[in-house]
Amino acid sequence: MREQITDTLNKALAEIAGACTGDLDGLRTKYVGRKGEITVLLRSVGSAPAEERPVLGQLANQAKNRITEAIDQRQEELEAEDMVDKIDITLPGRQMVIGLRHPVSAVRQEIENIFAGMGFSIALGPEIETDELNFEALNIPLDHPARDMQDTFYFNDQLLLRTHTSPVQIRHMRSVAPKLPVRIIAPGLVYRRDDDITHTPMFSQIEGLAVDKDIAMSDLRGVLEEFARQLFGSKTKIRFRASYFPFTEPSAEVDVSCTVCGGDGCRTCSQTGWLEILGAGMVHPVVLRNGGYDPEQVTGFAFGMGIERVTMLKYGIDELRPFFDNDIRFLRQVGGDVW
Amino acid sequence: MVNVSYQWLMEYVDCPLSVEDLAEVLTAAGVAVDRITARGMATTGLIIGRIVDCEPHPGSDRLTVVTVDGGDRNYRVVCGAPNVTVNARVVLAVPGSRLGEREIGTAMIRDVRSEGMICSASELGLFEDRSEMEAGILIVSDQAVVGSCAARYLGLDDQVMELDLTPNRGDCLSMVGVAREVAALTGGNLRQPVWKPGKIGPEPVRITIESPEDCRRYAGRVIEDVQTVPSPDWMQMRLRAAGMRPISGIVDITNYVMLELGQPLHAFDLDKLASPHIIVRRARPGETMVSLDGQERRLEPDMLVIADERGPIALAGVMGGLDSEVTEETQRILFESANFHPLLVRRTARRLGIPSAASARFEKGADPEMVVRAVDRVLELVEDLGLGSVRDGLSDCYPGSVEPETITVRPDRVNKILGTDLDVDVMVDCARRLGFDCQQEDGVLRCVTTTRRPDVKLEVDLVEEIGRVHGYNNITPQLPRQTTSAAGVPERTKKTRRLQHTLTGCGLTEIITYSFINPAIWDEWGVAADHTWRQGAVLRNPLSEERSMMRTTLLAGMVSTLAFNAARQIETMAGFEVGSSYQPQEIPISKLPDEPLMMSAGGMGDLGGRRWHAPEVPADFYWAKGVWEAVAEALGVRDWRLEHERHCILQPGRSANIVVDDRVVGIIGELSKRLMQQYRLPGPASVLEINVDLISGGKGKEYEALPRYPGAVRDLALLVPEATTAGELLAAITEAGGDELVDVWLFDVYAGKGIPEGMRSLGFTLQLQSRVSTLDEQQIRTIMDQVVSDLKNRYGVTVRS
Repeated sequence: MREQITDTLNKALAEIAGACTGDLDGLRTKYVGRKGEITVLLRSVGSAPAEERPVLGQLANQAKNRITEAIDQRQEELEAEDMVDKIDITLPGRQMVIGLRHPVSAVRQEIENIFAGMGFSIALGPEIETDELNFEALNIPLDHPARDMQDTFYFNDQLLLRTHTSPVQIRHMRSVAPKLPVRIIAPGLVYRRDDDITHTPMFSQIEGLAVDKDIAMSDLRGVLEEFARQLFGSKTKIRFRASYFPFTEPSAEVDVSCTVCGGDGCRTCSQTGWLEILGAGMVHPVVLRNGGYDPEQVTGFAFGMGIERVTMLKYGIDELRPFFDNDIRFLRQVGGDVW
Repeated sequence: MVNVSYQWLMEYVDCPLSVEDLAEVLTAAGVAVDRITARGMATTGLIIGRIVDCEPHPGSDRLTVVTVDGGDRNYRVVCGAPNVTVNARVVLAVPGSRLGEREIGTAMIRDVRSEGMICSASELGLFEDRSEMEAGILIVSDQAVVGSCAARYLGLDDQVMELDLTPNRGDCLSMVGVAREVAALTGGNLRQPVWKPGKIGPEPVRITIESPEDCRRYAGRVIEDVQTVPSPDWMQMRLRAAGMRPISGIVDITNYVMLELGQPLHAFDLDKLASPHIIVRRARPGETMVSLDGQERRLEPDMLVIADERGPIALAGVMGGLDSEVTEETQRILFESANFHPLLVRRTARRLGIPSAASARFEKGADPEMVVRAVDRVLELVEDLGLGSVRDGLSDCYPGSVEPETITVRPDRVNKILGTDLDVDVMVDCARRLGFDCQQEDGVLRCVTTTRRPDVKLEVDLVEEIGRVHGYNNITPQLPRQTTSAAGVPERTKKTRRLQHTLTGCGLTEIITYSFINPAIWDEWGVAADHTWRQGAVLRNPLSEERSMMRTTLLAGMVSTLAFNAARQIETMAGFEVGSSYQPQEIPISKLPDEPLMMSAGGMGDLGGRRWHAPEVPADFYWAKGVWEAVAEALGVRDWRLEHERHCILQPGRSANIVVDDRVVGIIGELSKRLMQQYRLPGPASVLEINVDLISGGKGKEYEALPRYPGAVRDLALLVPEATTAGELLAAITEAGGDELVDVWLFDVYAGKGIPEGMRSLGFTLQLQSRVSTLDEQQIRTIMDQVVSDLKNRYGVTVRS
């Protein structure tokens, strides 16, 4: 039995010396585990003659300790060997270059997506427009004071840069009338002859139009409330204020509860708790007729908003001009992502 | 913008609301209150005093010791103002009174006891203009009662609402108009001032209106024995609250009536007219007139003037003439009250750059029915204030009177448009409170139009009135009936999104640049005179020459964006833009131009970003080409090629046309050295632009079962004459490789050491795979031999070992 112990010990030490990291746990089990070879030998010391028991017991225990030590030692050796390959994990990762959407373009698509979810198709129209479609057909005749509200860039007496996306309402209605329902949004660039801290001569708008047999102002309120909640968060509230646009009657300005303070009043909302973001109303009968619909048979609502303004509110940007400077550092800060 | 004094307003309407709550109600109903400002400082204990004695201060040259009668007793006050005079009525802050945060007590000033303080306008928070503030203490009129509350007298505790009105609400440019609105919205009782018609008598002047279109009504009354007396303090305070300066008794009265009733008025010195004959007509070509401000005005035939038989004496609704001005010598005054065409007034006021409170009221449409009432009110005030004696008789020429019409309002229509369930009685009540004559008849409302509200003409206009008085925010939101058709996305939007998605994925950042460009860049860039880029639509009224042409290429914005960033020490960037360019079919444009969807991309510097791990990625021709390849893939373009082409802004030899289906759809290349220097761009810099509309979009994706048998990869290193392009060899390999060649790419390009002069080494990897079996070595060798012998024969290449 004495040799048996010595042989086992030698065999174990040899194996440990040649072991790799993954082998050590197995060797531990094999030799000193509950059913390990040394453990079994140790247990069988009890059946040896009484006078040999102390010596054999001591021998086996020593063997067990040596093996355990050897395994621990080997483990340390191996770990030390592994760490020779240690790298500087603080070095930056291999850069994945990701381009960003212009914030206005990203917000535009986000708005498009929200309205798509409510069944609004996208309609587009040209930016160089006729006076007829930009003004006349929208119930803004030549001497109308509303023409002053939007100072216009002209090419000649007939052609101009559209001052709003509203001509798309007429274009679209004319192309589908008398089909119902009409439910579109019209995003795009618009132009006004204005250039100061809060105005750029070009900006983006998104227009909405719904025409059907029984569209009411309550629907307009519902759609805009849903939109505001999806864009700014589920706690957002909306508020209508009566206003005036030649192409809607009744008309309203629409405020959303302040995106910064939630309505308590702060610098962004000038302490009012509200931010003006939309103009809206029920489509004027003259406009419906110009679009090819009978205002006695159908009603509709329309709304419009400035995308830069919405973007500024969403990101807390307090200047308009950087949107068109395209300073790459600005775009990297607030450049968007659409999903 | 119009300022409304809350206290003055409350004279015409009972309103239970505070000024803040009222402002909110008005704003919600479309009469926007932009701001509420306190008229003066919050004060207590200020009284009107009368100076009874002034003596010099024993210890100072500049100070005066003033004795003021405060009603109950006399106060001795030390004062530093230069304008203290005996008998002047002043505002006295007695000991114990408060001015804002400041408590006034008794103080020793250079050894003289001073009981309180005599106040200046600025100390009271009345910010008048500079000359008035520098005058010293505020002196009020002799009518002020000594010992009475000064804050009340001056309206210091008043608050002023600043209204921002929409163009349709000219009716709210008067106190009575706002009062009516308040009454309608709050249910408060309306107290209109009573109209006391003036006495009848012979017409004081003859009136000729040349065109009723231009002037619907012109009326006048005359006063005599005109007295030069200032207007009373109460009137001055109200004018000041409205933001107007008191000027003289007569002018103040006309301004006051304008504020009260909304009707602008003008006063002529009747004796300065050629004859008592007023002519309302268009200006004649070449006519001039010196206006009240002393400036000679050149008049044009699209301006409306008031003339006597000699010539123009006033610009209708805009400004009077100097020759007929009322002065201290004036004996007889003709008061004009008229209704001029909004557009004519607007045009004249704008053109001459002299907008006024009067022109603002005409521009938004004054009420012709107010004309006579207003002039009667002026004469009533003249008489009450002792400014002259009133002559009986009215001149009133009213060619533009319009019969009122009846609007039928169907209650179910109202509820259908608003999405409400309002009762008919509620609608009738609402219309009446707004001042409409409204009857219920056969289940509908019959409302009579009024000249006060020319914007209410149709049924739907009354729907709005009912809706806003009911409150838009009391309409319950609901979602419209869902449609079954899915939301559609136009092809242009789909392409735009695909490009945005692809290009951001490639690491390019999106930019948006102005659609207008500076036509001077064509010369700067050396663009040929007949180049289509120069054929842009030009604005008739641009903001500046630099933004006067609609872009014909997105590269203008792309190059300036690269330059903008380079000027800010940004060494590297990669950007793209997707948007319209504007391609007129004729110059100057006469019909709507094409607005093709364009896409531009540009990069500069080392796009590898000089990172520890990364090789250089110069924004050179091949970077731009990589962008194009990604775009082509995204748009489903298979059949394309690049063809060397010179281009003015691109570097010769490194520029090309992009050709798709044998049509040039764009250009690509490195920016010319000249441009790089001009814009100080870090090198290299490349751009490309394509007309997306010229790309049909390909066939889309096709499915093919994946191969089941393992393939093989073989490299082929070739020595190639320099003139042979990689493209030719790739095409030849593809052709020779047959069906089993599934892919081939270039893994190495090398020239220099070890390669003979005039040659270069190109390394190709060929991926071979069969759809029917595993390729054995014999088959692979056959294919490779075929490829090599083909290349040898056609291009004289040799295989490197």
